[in-house]
Formats: sequence, structure tokens, C-alpha cells
Amino acid sequence: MKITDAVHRVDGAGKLKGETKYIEDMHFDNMLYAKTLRSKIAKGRITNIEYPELPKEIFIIDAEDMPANNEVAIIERDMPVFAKDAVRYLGEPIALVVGEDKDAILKYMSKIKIEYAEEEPVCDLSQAAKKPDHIMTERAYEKGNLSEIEYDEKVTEIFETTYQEQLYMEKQGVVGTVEEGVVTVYGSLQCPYYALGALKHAMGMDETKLRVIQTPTGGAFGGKEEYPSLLACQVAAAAYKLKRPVRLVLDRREDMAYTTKRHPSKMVITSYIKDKKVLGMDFDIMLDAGSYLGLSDVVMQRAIFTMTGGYKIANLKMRGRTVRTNNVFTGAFRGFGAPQSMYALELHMSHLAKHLGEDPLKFRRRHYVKRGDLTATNGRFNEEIYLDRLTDLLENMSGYKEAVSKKRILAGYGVSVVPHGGGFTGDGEAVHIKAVVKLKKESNGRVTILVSNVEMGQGAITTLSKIVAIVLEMDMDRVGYETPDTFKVPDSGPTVASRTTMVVGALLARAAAKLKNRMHEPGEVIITEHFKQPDYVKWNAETLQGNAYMAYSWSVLLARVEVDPVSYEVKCTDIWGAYDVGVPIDEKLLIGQIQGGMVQGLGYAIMENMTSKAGGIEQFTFSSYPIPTTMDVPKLHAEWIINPYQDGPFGAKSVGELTLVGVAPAVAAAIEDAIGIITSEIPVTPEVIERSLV
Amino acid sequence: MYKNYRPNNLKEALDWMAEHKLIPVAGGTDLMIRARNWQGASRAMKGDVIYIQHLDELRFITETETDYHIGAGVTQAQFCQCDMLPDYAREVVGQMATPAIRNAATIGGNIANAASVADLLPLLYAADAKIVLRSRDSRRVLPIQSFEIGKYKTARRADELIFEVILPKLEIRRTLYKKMGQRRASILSKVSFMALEAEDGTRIAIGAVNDTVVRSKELEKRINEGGGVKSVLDGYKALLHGSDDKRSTKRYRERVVINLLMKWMEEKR
Repeated sequence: MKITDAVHRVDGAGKLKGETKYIEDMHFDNMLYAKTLRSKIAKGRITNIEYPELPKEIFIIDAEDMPANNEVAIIERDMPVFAKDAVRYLGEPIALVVGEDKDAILKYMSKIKIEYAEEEPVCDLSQAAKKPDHIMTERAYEKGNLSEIEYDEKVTEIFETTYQEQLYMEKQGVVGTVEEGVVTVYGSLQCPYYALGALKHAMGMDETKLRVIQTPTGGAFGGKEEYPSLLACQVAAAAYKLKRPVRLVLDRREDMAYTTKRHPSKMVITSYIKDKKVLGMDFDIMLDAGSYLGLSDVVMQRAIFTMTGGYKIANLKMRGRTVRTNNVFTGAFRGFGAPQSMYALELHMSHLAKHLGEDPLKFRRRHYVKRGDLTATNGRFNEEIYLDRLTDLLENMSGYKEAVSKKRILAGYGVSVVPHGGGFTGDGEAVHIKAVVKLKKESNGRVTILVSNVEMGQGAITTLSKIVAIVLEMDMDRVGYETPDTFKVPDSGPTVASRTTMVVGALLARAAAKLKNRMHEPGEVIITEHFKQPDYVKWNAETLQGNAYMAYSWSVLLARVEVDPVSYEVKCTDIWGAYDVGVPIDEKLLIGQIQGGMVQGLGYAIMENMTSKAGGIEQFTFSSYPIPTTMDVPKLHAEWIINPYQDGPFGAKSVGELTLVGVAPAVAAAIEDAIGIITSEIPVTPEVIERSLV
Repeated sequence: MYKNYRPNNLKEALDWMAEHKLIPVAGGTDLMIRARNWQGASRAMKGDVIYIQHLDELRFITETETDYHIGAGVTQAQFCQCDMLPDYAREVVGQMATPAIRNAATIGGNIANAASVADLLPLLYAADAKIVLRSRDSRRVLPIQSFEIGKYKTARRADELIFEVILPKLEIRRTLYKKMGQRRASILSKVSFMALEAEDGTRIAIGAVNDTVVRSKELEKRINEGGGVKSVLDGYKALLHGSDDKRSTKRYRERVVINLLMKWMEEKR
């Protein structure tokens, strides 16, 4: 078997047959249900809470019940587990109401009276950004000397993006229990050790008294990266106080209205053009972080570090800001800042090409980076980069040149060229994550993978098992996968940043190579591998200079749309994608990621309109927040080149996020091409088109 | 908590309707959602409930020389599959919701629910459909316009059930139906537009913009008489009271209606 050959997913049968038990299906003896008591206002002080007399079997868990700290440790500790004196967004948790009977809990909750001294919330991103105390973080860097370059003209554009909701099929859910003196949290989550870290701080206990166990996770897309840390602290405190299992599963509407989603952004981009080439670029992005920082600063960093995309631009001025508002707090979502910045860059590049009267791909080709070039942050592109080859592939597979030269009515084409760096930003893998994996040969000859990276639908178990099986030259069904449980697996880092295959898979491949020589030994053999930063990665976190990422994956996309001149509805008929992900570990899983990313990107591009009004998310139901159905899905065409990466397992780089990032700018450009408008926001809904036509 | 009633036949249902204040539930595809509650807790029904989806007496499709009679309990899927019914009507129902929902949702339910976005209503307005209501002691026939009196408001008395819809047979020469939603399927309408050309001329019904469907016989007359396009469009503009909401905007809704009216009138020439 070749590494790229498709196999059946390890987790597939159980899920298809409905046998897999998700957190809501799991039984715990003597379990209580929890419902979140939430703020009804976006900003203010809580002046009084009147809890009616507690009936038997109804319990309140609030800030007073946090054993050590009423703080959720993410990067900062600015978010409380339960709002105590002040509330900072609509729906902020104030307490859990816990009981055996859901009707009784709701009846009790309807009688709780909360009095607030309401304050004027700040909900508009641009307004908030004008207030210095609302800038949570600001980062900037420069390259070359933008102020001294000579140019023919400069072009400035402003772009805006709105929220996007992850809309994983399985809602957020956790169960807290106390098992033999250990506070244990079971949960649908991506990062068991993030939750453990938050629990240590909130509970004031160490990892021997705290345990996190991942349960089968029905989709996450980043939405279960940092948010479950909050829920874990809440149920841990409840279980610790009540000494009974407590289950907290959000309702769909709660989940859509009050959990993290993609940051709304506003971006200003100015290009300095000389001889039909971009000589310099000034980029400014602000992200609506909501009321707490969460991961927003890291999201913003990815946005500014990859801002020059696939292009070599000598002079740069970059600035990013995370802005505090009284909107719901925003967080991780597939692409992590890149969907915003790459939307702006790529649509801007299409606009520049049009302005200069050039084909958008031809214009881009003049700027393509190659191996050895300096990155935006003055690192060196270490691996081979084949952007011209990828562009050729795209043009051939789509019949690009013939298609765009034909006269069309109400049909248009748009392109994008997008990189995505695999793994953590800068030296994050070495300095912050320090991944450890273990591979265990059991005495019966089977092999077990011990990592904290989770299966969340993306195919992690299959990919990692396959890597190990092929290195060991054994059948995949003899390779097992230990449940990510902090009592059993080492911290191989979070399941994020397209790092699982590229980084964790590489560690497992190394461990498997070592184990291979010891498979004949009797009894158990355990191999432990630690992450080592490749020599070519140099990063200075203070100056933001060096290699922002270890290696990049690439995509070149073409979208075709048709626009209805009466209703302004957009029908995306085709998306073609040419990819360089190194060596795909499994062709079927790669195609799955590509198709999923294209569809999620299409939703972001044309239909997933989520807005906040006076601090409240307006579209918090399936009937008002649409994601594409099969009726909206275009023909999806994907091809790829093989370009082995020296430090990836079997040459693999990252896949997961890349596939979403380039879709929106290609589709937006195609819409513009079809009806001759200029857009500056996504989603490009029929309402936006109608407004642009005037 | 609320009480649940499950009658064995229509007579029993109407008897209970006369004696108690009951919320009729047929397919439940909208009512059950609106009565949503924390998953696992009791549904938040606003009163006691009577289930009528299983009553055979409400499930029939028949025709006379002049009309189709469609029982209130006919599901949307049955409506779509019925060859006897005209294509222009089946096309509308075929675009509603999803196959699973169409298998449960009933014709009577969509009418009684009286949502401003109900997709059956523009069709019924354009066709001059009539609603037959029955109670233990009475039978009433109301034109659809008189039955739908507001958003989620109908002229149904508390003791009445919708028995059937009478859809007049029309000699259809041309139709234009367009449903605009945030995506192509399984979505509520932002605007829906039904134009028919029957033996007596144009009929136009506009849904999902105002609280109830917009239909103007006066403006239709103007179209039939070949009146000025501008006066017709201005006439409709004055009748539209769209608003901005989480799904769309007033100006989009109204402009698309105008575009469709223009298309309809242009095609006529």
C-alpha cells in the first residue's frame, strides 16, 4: 500500500451505524443536568440577584463556588468562569442552575430576578477602535522602507467581513464528575490539555487530581478549541461541590448565540504600484474580539503574518489590532485570521489586475514567491514552492484561458492564490507546545498511539494510524488509538492549526521508526518522542521577525458563478482547486477536506450572514443562519501536485484550513466579473449585490 | 404541562374542539419548533393540544367540474405527488422545506399557521382559493383573503378546524413563480412571487414582504388593460411594506418584486 492510497476511516463504521456514543448519549449514574443562567444585557453591573428559596434537588453554582480562581485561563485570565459583579456581553454566564428534572430547573429559573445597572454597550467595531482603552492588543512590523519608495500610483481599499459560525453538528457539551477523588471532565473538545490547564487554575489542583477525557466529537472547526475550557471549569466546580456527575450541553440556539465564532474584521489595504507590479503594501486589520481576549491576539497574528500571501513584496507596513466590544467573544475557526486577511488581499489583487487591465492570474504570477525568498517577516521560504506549476495545473484542469476569453452574460470567473502555514505561529511549537507523543507496543504485538490529538471528523485517527502502520509495515487494524485522556496520553498539543498530521504525524513516524527495531522484544515497549524545532526556523517573538511558519501549503483556485439579474441570487457552478499539500497521507481524506473547505468557504462567501445588534447575535437559528445544502454545492474539481516536505511524515504538509481560506475571494471576484460591480464585503448576498448595482 | 387529546375521528375532534380550548396540531413541523424548549424538557405549548394528523377524513384530494378539493390533512408530499393537481400548484409545494418536512407538514397546517412567509399562501391568493371550516355545529366557507387576517392570525374560531381547501380550476396560460431565500433549498422565503395568467387575465400575489400576501385586483386590471408600466409599478410599490430584518432588507425585497413585475409584463408583450 502506498501512503496516498485511500483506506476506510477507522471511526467511520461506528458513526455510520449510530453506535458511537457522544457526550449526550453517555450514561452517568446519579447525573444532574445544568442550565446556564445568562446575562440579559450586554454591559452593566449586577446590583442584585434574587434567588427564590431553593427546592430540594435544585442547586446554584456561581462565582462563589470556584475553589481557587473565578478565571478561565486561556492565554490571559481576563474571562471569569461566572460573571460576578459586572457583565460584558449579552448571554454571559452568571451561574449554573443544576437539578434532576429539566422542567423543575426551568420553572425555578423563570423566578430568578437579576437587577442590573445598565451601561451603554460598545458594539460597533470601528467606534470601539477609536477608544484607546478598547484596543486589547496591537502588533506591527515593517519590511523594507515603504515611506521612501518611488511608485506610479497607490490604490487603497477597505474590506469588511462578518461573523461566521462553525456550526459543528454536535453542540458544545461536557460532563463533570468526581471519580475516586479526581475531578474529571468528559467533553466534546479539541484540546484536552487546554481544558486541563484551565481546570488547574480554576480549581487550584494539580494534574493528579484533575482529569480531562475527550468524548467522540461531532465536528469542531475551532469552535471547540478554547471555548470548552470555560464549560469545563463550570461543570468541574459543580461536580466538585455536589459530588455528582453534572452534564452541561448547550441548546443549539445558545450555542449559536453565545459561543465563539469567526472574528468580524475591518481591513484597510494600500498597494504601491510601479511598472504594473506591487512594490509595497500597507495593511491594517482590526478584529472584533468581543469582551475577552481569548485567542484573538493569536488569530490577529496569523492574519498579519501571512498577509502577503503567495507574493514577494519588498516593502511592507503591517498593523493588527484586537478590539474590545460588548459583542459575544470570538475565537478559533478553521483558517484562524487568514480567511479575513486572504479575502482582503486576494480580492484586492483581483481589483488591481482589473485596474491595470491584466488577467488576474498573469498579474499574480509576476509576484510569486519561490524557495529562498524572504517572507513578509524576513524569514526564508525553506521548502520548494511551485506556484507557477500549480497555476498551470489550474489553468489546464479548468480550461481557464478559453473559458475567460469567451463572451459571457451574467456568468463570471474569479481566482485566488493562497498559502497556509502549518503548525503554530513562529517558534510556538517549540516554546509553547513542546509536543510529546508515545507509541506503545503491547505484549500481544499490537501497537497503540498515545497522543492528545482528537478525532473530530477530520480523520485524525485514520491518518495517524496509517502513518504508524506503514512505517511499521503492519496492518492498520493492529494499530490502536488511546482515547485522549490526560491520565493516559502525553501532551502532544492541541488539535488545531492544521498541525495534527504535519507535526504530530511526523513525531509518530519517528517513534514508529525507532519502535520498528524493537518490535521483536517481548513485553511492552514504549517509545517517546519530543518535538524538535528544525534548524531553519528562526523566530523572534518580540520583533515578529523570522519564520512565522515551518512550511506552507498552497492553493490556486478558480470559481465560476452565474448571477440572476432579477433576484440577484448567485449560483456558484464550479470551483476548481490546484493544491500543494506536500504528500497527501490519504487521497480520500484529502478530497474530503477539500470538498468540506470549499463548501464552508462558499457559505462564508455568499450566504453566511451573521450580524450583531446591540450586542446580540441576530441569526442564532438554522432558519435565519443558512449554510450551503447539497442544492447549493457546485461541481468541485480538485487536483494536486506531489511536493514532499522534508520534515513532514512521508512528506506531508498541512491541509485542513487551507481548503477554506481561498474560496471567498475567488467567489467574490467571480460575482464581480459576472455583473460588473465592485464589492468590499462578504458574504456577497443578493442584498449586497442589489445595493452595489444602484 | 399541557393536556394531549387524540381523537378517533373528525366528529370526536370537533366535539372536543367545541368543549375545550385546544391547539390543533397536524404535521407539527412549525408548531413543535415554536414550542421548543430545553432539549429533554416539556414542550412549551401555549395550551392543551389536539392531534389531528391521523384523521382519514381530512386526507382526500377530489375534483369537481370547477374545483379541486384538498383535505386539510393532506401532506405537502401527497400534494406534490398528486397527478390530478395542476403543475403550477405542485411546483410551489415542491419548493417548500425539505422532503422529510414535506412528508409530515400538511396543507391545512401551512394555511392555519398563517406565517407571513408561508409559501402556499401566494398560490392560494392568486388562485382565489376558498377555505372550508367546520365546527361541531357549523360549516363556513371563506375566501383565503378573509381567512388570513394577519401575521399568525386567522379568522378561524376556537371551535373550528380547517376541513378543506377549494382550489378553483383555472385555464392557465402562463405562470411565473419565484421563491427567494438565503439559499436554494430548505429555507424560509425572503420574498415569494406568484403570477398567473388565466382566462380572465393576470393575477399576482406577493408573499413574505408584508404581514399578509399582497394581491390587488385593481392593479391586475390595469395590467390586463395594458396600462402604463410605471403606474402599475408605482401602484405595487405603494402596497409593499417590507422591513429590514435578520434575513433581508426592505429595499431588496421591494426591488425584486418590481423586477419580477417588470419581467412578467415584458414577457406578455
